[in-house]
Amino acid sequence: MEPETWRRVEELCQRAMALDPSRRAEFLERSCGDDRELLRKVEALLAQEARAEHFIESPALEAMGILVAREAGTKEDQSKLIGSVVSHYRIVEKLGSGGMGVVYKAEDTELRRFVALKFLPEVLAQDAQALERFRREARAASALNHPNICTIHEIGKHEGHSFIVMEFLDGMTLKHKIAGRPLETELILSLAIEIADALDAAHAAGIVHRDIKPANIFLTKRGQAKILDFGLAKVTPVLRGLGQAEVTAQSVTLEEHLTSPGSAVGTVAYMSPEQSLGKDLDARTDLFSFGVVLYEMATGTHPFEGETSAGIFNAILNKTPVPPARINSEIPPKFEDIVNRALEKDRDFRYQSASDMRSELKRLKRDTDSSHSEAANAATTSSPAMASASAPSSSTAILLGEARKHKRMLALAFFGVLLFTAAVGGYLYVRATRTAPKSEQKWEQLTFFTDAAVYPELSPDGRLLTFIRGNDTFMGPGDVYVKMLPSGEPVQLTHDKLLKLSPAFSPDGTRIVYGTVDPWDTWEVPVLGGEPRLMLRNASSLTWIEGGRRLLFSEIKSGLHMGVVTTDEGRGQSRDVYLPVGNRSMAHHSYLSPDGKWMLVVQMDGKGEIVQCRVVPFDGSGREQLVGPGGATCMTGAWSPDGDWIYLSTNQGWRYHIWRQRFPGGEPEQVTSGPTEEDGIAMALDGRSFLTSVGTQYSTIWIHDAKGEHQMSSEGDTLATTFSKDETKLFYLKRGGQNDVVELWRTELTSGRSDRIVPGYGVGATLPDYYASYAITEDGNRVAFVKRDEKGISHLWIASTDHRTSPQQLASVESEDEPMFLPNGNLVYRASDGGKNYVYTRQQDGSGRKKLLEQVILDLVAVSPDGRWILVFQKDDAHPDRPYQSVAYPNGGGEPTIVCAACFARWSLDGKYLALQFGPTPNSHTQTYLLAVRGERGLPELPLEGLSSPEDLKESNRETVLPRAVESVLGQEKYSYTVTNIRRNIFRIPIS
Amino acid sequence: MAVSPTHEVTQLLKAWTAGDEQALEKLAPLVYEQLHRVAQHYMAGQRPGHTLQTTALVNEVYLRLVDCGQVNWQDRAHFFAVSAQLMRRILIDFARSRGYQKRGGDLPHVSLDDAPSVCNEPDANIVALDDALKALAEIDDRKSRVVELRFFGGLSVEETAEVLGVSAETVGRDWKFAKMWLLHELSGGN
Repeated sequence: MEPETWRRVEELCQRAMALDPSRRAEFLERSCGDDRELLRKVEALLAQEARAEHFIESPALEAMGILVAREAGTKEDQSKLIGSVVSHYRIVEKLGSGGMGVVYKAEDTELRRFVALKFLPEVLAQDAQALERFRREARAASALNHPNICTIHEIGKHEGHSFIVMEFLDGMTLKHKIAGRPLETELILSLAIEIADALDAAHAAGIVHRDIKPANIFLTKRGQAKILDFGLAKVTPVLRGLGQAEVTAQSVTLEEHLTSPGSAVGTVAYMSPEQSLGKDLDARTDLFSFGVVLYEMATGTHPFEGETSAGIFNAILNKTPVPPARINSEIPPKFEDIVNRALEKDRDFRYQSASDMRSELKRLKRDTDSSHSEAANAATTSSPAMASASAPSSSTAILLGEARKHKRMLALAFFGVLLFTAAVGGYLYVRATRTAPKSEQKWEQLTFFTDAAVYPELSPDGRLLTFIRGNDTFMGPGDVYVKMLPSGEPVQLTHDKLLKLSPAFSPDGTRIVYGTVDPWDTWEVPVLGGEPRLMLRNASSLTWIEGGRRLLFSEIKSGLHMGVVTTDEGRGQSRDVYLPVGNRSMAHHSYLSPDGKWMLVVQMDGKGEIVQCRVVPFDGSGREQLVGPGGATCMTGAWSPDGDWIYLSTNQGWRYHIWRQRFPGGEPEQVTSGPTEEDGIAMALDGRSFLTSVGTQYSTIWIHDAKGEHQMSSEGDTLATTFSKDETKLFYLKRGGQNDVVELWRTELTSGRSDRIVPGYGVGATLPDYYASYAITEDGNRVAFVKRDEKGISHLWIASTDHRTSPQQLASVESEDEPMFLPNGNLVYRASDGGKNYVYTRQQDGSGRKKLLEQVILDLVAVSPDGRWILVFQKDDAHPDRPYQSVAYPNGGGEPTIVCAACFARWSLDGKYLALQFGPTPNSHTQTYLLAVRGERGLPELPLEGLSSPEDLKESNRETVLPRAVESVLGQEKYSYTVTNIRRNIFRIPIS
Repeated sequence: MAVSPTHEVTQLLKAWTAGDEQALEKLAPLVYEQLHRVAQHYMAGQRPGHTLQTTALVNEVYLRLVDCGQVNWQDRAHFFAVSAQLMRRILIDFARSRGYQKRGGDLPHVSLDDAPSVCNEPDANIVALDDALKALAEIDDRKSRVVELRFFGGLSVEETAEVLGVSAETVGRDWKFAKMWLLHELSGGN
């Protein structure tokens, strides 16, 4: 090509690509004028635009490496396998190898029969999800027990390699049978009927084969057709609109095909139009492929020919095949009709079911047979024509018998297989019916992890969901996943477990970008899988705006000062949109309104605290406006598609919930509430629902003893444990039941029997105070607990633990809580008086109520088992640098002792230790420090002003460190504790 | 050798960036050898599905060969450019030795059955791509180098821009257009 022409072609192409596709043709007509040659060149190149997206995006070395390793592995394995024993199969010889693994003939040493053993290609077997999908498919197909579907006996693993054991078939594939020449009409029809029957059975069970071709159809020596490889053709979900057909496990990039001519993944010549376009597939795709097989059986040639795959695709999509009768005159015209209908490019015009095709084929066969036998009878004198016309041929008889039998099996299989139903793309249907969180039946659960999925984001067409599997809703270690909605299998795209945030889809939906933490970069990974690549340095929470032409992201200006900028795709034409005040402030996330005028910002202040969200004008004119409930932490946001509402995930106190506010000029209103937590918002395209990550917290209780850790609760949300003094029982609170009530339970440690202590009475307290919401007497016979009345005032109740008497409420006007028992059975507790809290005491029958300490307190923390000390949490006005203190007051009067500045302390049940916990620090877990108590004193050695931090303990001696926050201590080696787990999953919540 | 390989490579690199074209002639084989060794190591030991990063590989070679204190940023960019060329040579040689011949003249009808479903991609392999890339170099050298740096060298758009001394935007446009042209070529051209 001349340089001048080249420049012109390039210029025209680049300019055309910058235009809306609808305007391109016109533009090119105008620009090229009479030069048709130029136009042709430009159009030829533009035709490659979509495919160029994925072409050679992964470096060459990687593709080569995979291929080489796989080849090397396979060759080695193959040679050393012959003669060896895999499970209880002895490998006899290699039968062949296809794209989906090597097949061996093996002898089942137990059942004394031959089987076919196929090792799955490493690339598939490495992917646990793909393997699991395959197992399900294979199991489902085998469960049909159809005579024309190759039975799979077993799926196993040998030295890390997965293999399947199938029935050994003696014969050849249809491919070898055809070998370029047409088959006999009679044979064609009987085989076709068998194949159609098999497809019908599979389709009825919801299984689509997706790779029907002569190489996958086996012809036994007895003339029976068997379809092979159900399940192997489909190992990842088909993603729409990308022009891709099947690919193997996600780690293999498309570019691998550049270097691996031998690895067949699917076969071009038999693909249906929708398959070649990468659309959703249903059973009718098998019918098309079946039509191609019929054509080939009848003519010995392919209906769609081309010099390259591209040429073949073109033929499949646009060209009509040569009529079969022209190639093979023996074919009945009706057969041509059947083939033509199966090969309809629009699947709505094809046969809609395999059973329809089967009946047409059977009628044709009956007609063909009867005309043959009539012809035969005309020549002979015996055999009534009726008999031969009505008597079913042998294969049909078998089919009818089988049909009845397997109709019943189908019914059984249907329910069993429903669990394994491979709907389009192979997803578990059953999951969609699991119940949503108990109080919100309308919430549709989309992920089902036992750990956590956060940061949901939708693809531009709303069909794919990406999220980070990890427990931190702001930035935490985890990996990026993608899942087809509503019920596709989640596919893991990254595998580094590093800190990530803000995944988002590229405008064409083929890539997912995500942010890393420190450095704050944006990486991208193809939706179909592949190696993640650094996309843009110093760019965080990146999204595309203005129809995909520009980028919006946060970048560090200096140090920790992060602002929002917009640039073009190459990071040129950069404009600062918003820079937060304070040179350590970070504007982490930004969300542009649908009309492009406003930007919602999530921001962290200089102290690293996430603050309220705000809206700023996108063009930089005007001030920011705070949105959402005041003083709240706002983590994520989103705009409704009509731009009228801002949705926020924010917490006004304890839990994160979704709020919304009309913008401009609205007031914040709460959308979700309850015992769950919602964070992360992805609005559905129709504005009628949104996706969010719903977190549920549940606690389990554990005991540590010399033998190790023992979980005490198997189900339910349990916390706040207390041992009985005689060490035989464990008391605890359990949350659950219909009304999310918290009840008091007791477990006998030797027998494991558990029972409710005061059935029907829920214990009332706010979350941090659960530990102090009940107390057990030393002898274990009586319990005091807290319950709130309708006015919200807390009262103490007393009950016996043997259910003999009903619980009694202790009367009071003001709130009373945090009950603890003295050795003499009297209660010590916290009560409010004139707006302040004090320590009070009372007898169990309620009498003798009086203030025990004059000191104003915040909390009653603990009472020593011998009753000598009362430990409280109080404000400290004397020390400006430590606003709170834990102070121990001698019961009966005397000088108090400062224990620590803001720690949590409790005595062990025998009074020998004081267990202390300081507040958690960012990078460490809470620990408990056991300090030995000095006998006469009843308190451990403490510095004069109390302990400020664990560091101070180094001066004192005789302390033991326990690696967790413990609750009830029997000794250094025996204590109980609670483990809190947060499970987060993505839900779709409708907007009312 | 009296001089350690590291020192020699560094000297050659500096000479080359200063304009001494002959230095490249001497440089290439030394680097080639290292790259080849490391590539073999990676390719032999790779578990399938476990991808590796070309730039990480090239970095490793770079560190081994070059005395980092003496080499500045510009040298490094050039080093990557050289490595991309060398990586290309290594991989093409490797592919040819494996028998991955270009599918061109003979259009096997039968073998289409086993043809990889390259998902709308034409039947192509790395050898064919290499030839097409050579053809591209005749028409537009810079685009061919962009492809070489990105595909064979594994460089990002930014890194490629640095090596070639153009803007990232330009690289982005070149890359996209070059891919379209290559696909067109590999589909059979006109």
